[in-house]
Amino acid sequence: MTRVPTLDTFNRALAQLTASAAAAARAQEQIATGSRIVTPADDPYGAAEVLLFEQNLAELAQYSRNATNAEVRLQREEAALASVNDLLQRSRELVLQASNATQTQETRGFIAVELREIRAQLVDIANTENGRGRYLFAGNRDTEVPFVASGAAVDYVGDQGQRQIQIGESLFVESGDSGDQIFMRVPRANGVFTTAAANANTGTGIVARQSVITAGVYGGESLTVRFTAADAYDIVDGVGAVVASGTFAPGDAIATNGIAVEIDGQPAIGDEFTIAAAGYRDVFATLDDIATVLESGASSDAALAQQASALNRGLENLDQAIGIVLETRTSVGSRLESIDAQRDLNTGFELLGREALADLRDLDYTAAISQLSQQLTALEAAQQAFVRTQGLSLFNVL
Amino acid sequence: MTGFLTSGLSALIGTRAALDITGQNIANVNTPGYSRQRVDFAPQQVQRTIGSSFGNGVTVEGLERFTNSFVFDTVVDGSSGSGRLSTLSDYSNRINNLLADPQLGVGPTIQQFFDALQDATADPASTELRQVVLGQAEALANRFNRVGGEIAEIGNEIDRNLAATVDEINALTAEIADLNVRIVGTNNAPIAPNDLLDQRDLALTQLAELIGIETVEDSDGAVNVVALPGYSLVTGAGANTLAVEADPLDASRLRVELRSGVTGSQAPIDPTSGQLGGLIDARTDLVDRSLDQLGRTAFALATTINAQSAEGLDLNGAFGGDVFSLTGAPDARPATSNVGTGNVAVTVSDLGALTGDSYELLYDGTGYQALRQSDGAVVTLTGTGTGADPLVFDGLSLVVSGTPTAGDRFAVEPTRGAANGIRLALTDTDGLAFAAPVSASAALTNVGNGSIEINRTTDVTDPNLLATSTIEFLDANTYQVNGAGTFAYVSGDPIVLNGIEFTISGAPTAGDQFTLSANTNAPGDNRNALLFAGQRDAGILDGGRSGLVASYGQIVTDSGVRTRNLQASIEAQDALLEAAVREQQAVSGVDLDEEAANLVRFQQAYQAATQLVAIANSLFDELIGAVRR
Repeated sequence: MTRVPTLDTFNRALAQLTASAAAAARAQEQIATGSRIVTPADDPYGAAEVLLFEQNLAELAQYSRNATNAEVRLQREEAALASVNDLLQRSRELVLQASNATQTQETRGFIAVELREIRAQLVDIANTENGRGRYLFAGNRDTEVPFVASGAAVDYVGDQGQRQIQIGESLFVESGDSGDQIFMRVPRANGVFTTAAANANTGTGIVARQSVITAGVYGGESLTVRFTAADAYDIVDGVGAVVASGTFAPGDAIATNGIAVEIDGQPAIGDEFTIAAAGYRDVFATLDDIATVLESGASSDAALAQQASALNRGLENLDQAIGIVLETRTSVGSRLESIDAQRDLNTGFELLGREALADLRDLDYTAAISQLSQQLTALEAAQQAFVRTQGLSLFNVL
Repeated sequence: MTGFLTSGLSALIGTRAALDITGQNIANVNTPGYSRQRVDFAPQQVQRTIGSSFGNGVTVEGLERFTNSFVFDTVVDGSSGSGRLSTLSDYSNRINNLLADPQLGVGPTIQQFFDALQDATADPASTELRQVVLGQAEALANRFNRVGGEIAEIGNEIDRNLAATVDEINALTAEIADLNVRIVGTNNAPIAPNDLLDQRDLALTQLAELIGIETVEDSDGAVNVVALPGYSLVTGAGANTLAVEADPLDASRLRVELRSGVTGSQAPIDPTSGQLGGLIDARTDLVDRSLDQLGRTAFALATTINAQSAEGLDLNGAFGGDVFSLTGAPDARPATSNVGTGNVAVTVSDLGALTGDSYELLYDGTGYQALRQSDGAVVTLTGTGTGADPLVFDGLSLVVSGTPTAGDRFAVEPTRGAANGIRLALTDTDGLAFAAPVSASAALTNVGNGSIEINRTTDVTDPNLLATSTIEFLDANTYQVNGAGTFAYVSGDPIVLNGIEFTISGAPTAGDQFTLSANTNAPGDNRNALLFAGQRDAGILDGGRSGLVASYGQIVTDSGVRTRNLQASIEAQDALLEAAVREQQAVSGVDLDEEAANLVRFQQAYQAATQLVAIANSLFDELIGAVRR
């Protein structure tokens, strides 16, 4: 029979009481925090997983914030580009209207005034801010006004940078487009070549449609169509050598080097039409060109023919500009769409992450509460047992 | 007749003694270390002569002290183990709570710093967003300092406790030596010195909790105490004392040495158990290790962010300076006990190979050996320690200067000081290098539709990185650079020039120009900011397997596992100790019920003895009366 020393009984009962109280306190702490894992020692691997999931959720929240930033910026850009489009469409109508033979010098002047007005508005829009002092179309130099007037021209002082924003684990989206791309780098005419009527022309030949017959043949070389008679022409290259000759009737397309130029009206002997690589013409210059032509006060048939040629080119340039705006808007739209899609994806990941986190960390309240009440019962029982056993002593009955 | 009286008297004396001892037992029911005692009775020698009496009563043979040396040894063992584990467990819990607490730990702050960087990518020119980045960077440095500081403070506390524990141990060993003398002195006394033995056992149990010991009792009753794994503390009447001295490898730390009571010489000791062993282990395995690992994350953060900063241009158009400064890491120094003049300089040559350990470098007269602090293992190293051929191991590169002597030691602590030494170095928001160093542009006068795009910086140290370069196309298929050379053009092929990789794509025509130039006026450029933000998940540690966040996660898991294991061990150890103590109590403890029963028993015996004397008295009276008549 084991002896039961008095001090030991007391100590043991006390230890049991302490242990029960500690277990109850722990259960209570779990319930109070709602978390199964109060310190990493409770479940080290679980704690590390929780840490990772929390980081992951924070990351997703950041991507959402980035997505919103990019979205706001792109929506502003889209709104600006919509206005640009409207203005360019209006310019196009005006140019068509100006081309109409019923126009007088005076009415062309009115049209020129409106075009200059449109040009000024375009500069304003191109200098749009994002509401926080950043210029939308300045590339990476977005703290300074990107489009500045320099004499008759508008200079672009931004750069060609395009900022990316991270909206997903490995997805970056461009949050804007540089003004260089939208307003400055507008291909001239059909983007390959352009034909100009010489100032000294005396006939009424008008450069109408220009087209590329075989892509890749024309290499940017300078060519001149020189009329040797009202119905015959030579094509002269950059050093003055005649490379081709042909006969001509008004409305004919003169084809050479894979390209064709349609000339309406009747050129006179010695009239020249020069063909050059298209290059780029900024949209402000295009509008300025058109307005200047309309303001020129042409009255002779020859001058009117030159004006008509210039208006045709202007129209082509405007169409290119409209094309670029359309392209950019499409691109902005698809970026907005991919932001939406990524946000949905992020939300999905977030949901999964939260679920996993809840599984890992969250307390099963039912189990925890029943456990707590069990432990409290155990504690009470231990207390009562303590009082009872401590009361037992032979000395009480001596 | 006289025998009868003698019996009665001896019974009176014996039961009085028994009552006294019962009283003593009852009185000491709560006295720690008290072993219950019992009077041993033996019948008095019977004189077998005819007509003589048949008994002489009872004698008190001695006082039995109830102990069991085997059980005592178990308690001593258990106390040592428990002393070590409870010390370790306490410190482990504290560090664990520091590392994991979302309000205290570093993890969430790392995330917030990178969040701020991400926010800044949306508007790199914004002073406010830049301010937030710097603010978060400072908060991150502060958090490292704070957690590192708390852990270092635990290290200081351990040093103070070491000194206090050593004092207690010295007091106890002196007491045991003194008790040895007194116990040996009572060798010829009739009654065993039970109180002294109790005192000595108590002192031994208390000593065992402080330092693991083994005891051997001499035949003369003196006990010899050896601290595990083999340092003599008490030999009979002599005691060796422990002392704390500055650690030669780290003068800011204390180490424990054993001072011989005979020769006065001192030698460092490494006790394996008891509170002292626990304190020493806590410093190495918990404090040092946590600081090393936390420091590794801090070091990696500072190094990576600073390197990224150096790759970009700030708002002033200059290359970015250090965002964080680091003092105290990596650190290497000679032991103060070294004989030679050797000194050692350490640099981190490969962040990915950095382990988060500290090392001891040994010079044996011809070469060096590196011992890992965490497990004492020898680390493979290459090199001879000269500037041209440094010692290289675990991502470190060490150069020894001066002349070391064989046996000289060096402490190598690559990251220990980093958590406490990281500071925000950048205070000017303009100094955040968010822009890429170079920008590219296509000339507006170009005729073709070629476009240029910069992919990345391949060599930030290229002296011509910021030089302006012009790529001009000679025809659709060839180009020259800065007016020289002829290079074949393939659309979309990467081209590397002056440390920059870029691509030209599309169909440029003769005369088209593309320019690379210093990106000095681009406050809205976020290319380097994106690279900054990308460092959060970049595999920069463990050979590319762990990023910053993951490396901190490792610390938390490590600490959690350690704490949990210690909790399990301490529970098991406590259960063992409790069982041993219970067993010891079952032998030595006072049971009041038992003593009450004894009280009744001896009281009755005493009453019976008084009756004996009374009857003897009346017999005597009758005898006298009969003779008188």
